[in-house]
Amino acid sequence: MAFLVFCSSLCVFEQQTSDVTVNSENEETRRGFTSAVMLPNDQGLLCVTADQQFLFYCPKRTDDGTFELSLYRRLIGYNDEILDLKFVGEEEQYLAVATNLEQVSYS
Amino acid sequence: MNFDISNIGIYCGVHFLCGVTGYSECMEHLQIVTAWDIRKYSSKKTIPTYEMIEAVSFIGSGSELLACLGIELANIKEKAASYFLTVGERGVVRIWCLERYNSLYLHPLLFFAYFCSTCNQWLFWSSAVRFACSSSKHLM
Repeated sequence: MAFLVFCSSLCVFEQQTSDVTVNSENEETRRGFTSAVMLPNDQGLLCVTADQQFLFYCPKRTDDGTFELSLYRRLIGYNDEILDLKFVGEEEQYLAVATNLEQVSYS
Repeated sequence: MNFDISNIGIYCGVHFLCGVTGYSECMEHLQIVTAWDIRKYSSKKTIPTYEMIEAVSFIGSGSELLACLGIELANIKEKAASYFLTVGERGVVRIWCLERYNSLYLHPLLFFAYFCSTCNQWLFWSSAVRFACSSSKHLM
């Protein structure tokens, strides 16, 4: 019999909410993030989700002085079946994409 | 102390940090991150994360991310590879400090490991003991 004693490291920051989209039908199979890498030249953090989205974060200090990771770009890596497309915005600068997922994405 | 830990979990990620003597790996099954000293081939620290970890990444000492966190560069020069982040099934980013001694505002927890000869694996559990500060004289 052997015993070991571990003293934990400190978690100095944790995101309060997740930016990973939730599909209610497959909620049990969701796995959140699958990969993360720090980008060079202080371009922030890149996280990859289980449904093949690329989330780009940059560190930011809010007005009240608290730290947060701000999501500044989301790339959809997999759309499955695209059902409809529509230009939106005052100058139609965005493209809304309806797929057979529950979320409507735009770019 | 030498022991074989190859049978206690599935490794799901490894991350090296150039220029220092360590790398970290995460075990999906046991929900832990282990930091290793690759020069001595020994583990430096085991961190329970309470989450299925999918990836781990060191944060460089000159990173803007640490500056935004309010961590002084002068404080981490002596302790390179002190900060890393983890992501996993919860879909949130968590940032960890590897050296618990350089901060007093959070309370560390004490963790135990027990090798069960019946099931031939290490079992982990934590106590509810909290410490008023990180000094080792308060560990008992």
